[in-house]
Amino acid sequence: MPSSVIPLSLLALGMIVGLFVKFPPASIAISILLYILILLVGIVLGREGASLKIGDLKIPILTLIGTLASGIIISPVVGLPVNVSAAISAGLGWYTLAGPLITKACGAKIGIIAFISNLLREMITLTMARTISERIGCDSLAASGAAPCMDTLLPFIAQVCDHNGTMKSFISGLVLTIIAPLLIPLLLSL
Amino acid sequence: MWDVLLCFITGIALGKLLKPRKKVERILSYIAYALIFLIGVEIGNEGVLLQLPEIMLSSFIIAVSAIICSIIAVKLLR
Repeated sequence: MPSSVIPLSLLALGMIVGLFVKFPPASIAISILLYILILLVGIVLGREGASLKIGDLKIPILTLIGTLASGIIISPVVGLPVNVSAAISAGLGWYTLAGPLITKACGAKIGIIAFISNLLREMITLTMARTISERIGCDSLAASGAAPCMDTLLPFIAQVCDHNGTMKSFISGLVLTIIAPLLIPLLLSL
Repeated sequence: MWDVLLCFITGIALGKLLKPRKKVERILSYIAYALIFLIGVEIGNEGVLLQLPEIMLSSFIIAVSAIICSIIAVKLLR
């Protein structure tokens, strides 16, 4: 899982550095970089300029419904307010976005839960890709992977799904990538 | 919320107008990595590390439940 090794290593390195070196501007730097990240994601999506049909929205909308339902159901289990738990789930596997956005709004502890849970979503999907696609189908694989289906998970999906399934996964990932940056702040503001 | 929306929409407009080269993806990765490192630093600074087992358990529960509920939604409601 090379795509997960770098972020996990950087997180661990940052934690070790943070234990020994106090760096108060970290939260300001996180805010600034976060805005730049969202701007650049917008630039990439604007450049691609994909056109969507109504039928393409079925999988991402159902994925979103399932994910938000899970955030609401799981809230008492993890001991977080419903909107925060739903916002963490609304990261939709996009850990580089959910981690900083939620750290900025709710602090480091909840931020790291957002980061790790969304990273785990990607890692579990990656590990289980073949099993999910063979036993439940490629639509379920797209639902499991959520937003990263348009980039980091796409090569692995292409290995286990046909062209149609891979395209559906890409479009689902694209739609969820557009939704996540808007939905997380909306849920946190409730 | 509006600050994020503004950044996002500005980005989409810039992307449509300027059609920048593929270098943007590379810059995006570097920024994402810098963000992850800084989150780590903040976690270290705030002494959240002691709560790591609880954090890992909550994260695992949230991730697995999100995957299961999404798959159920796609399977049942389609």
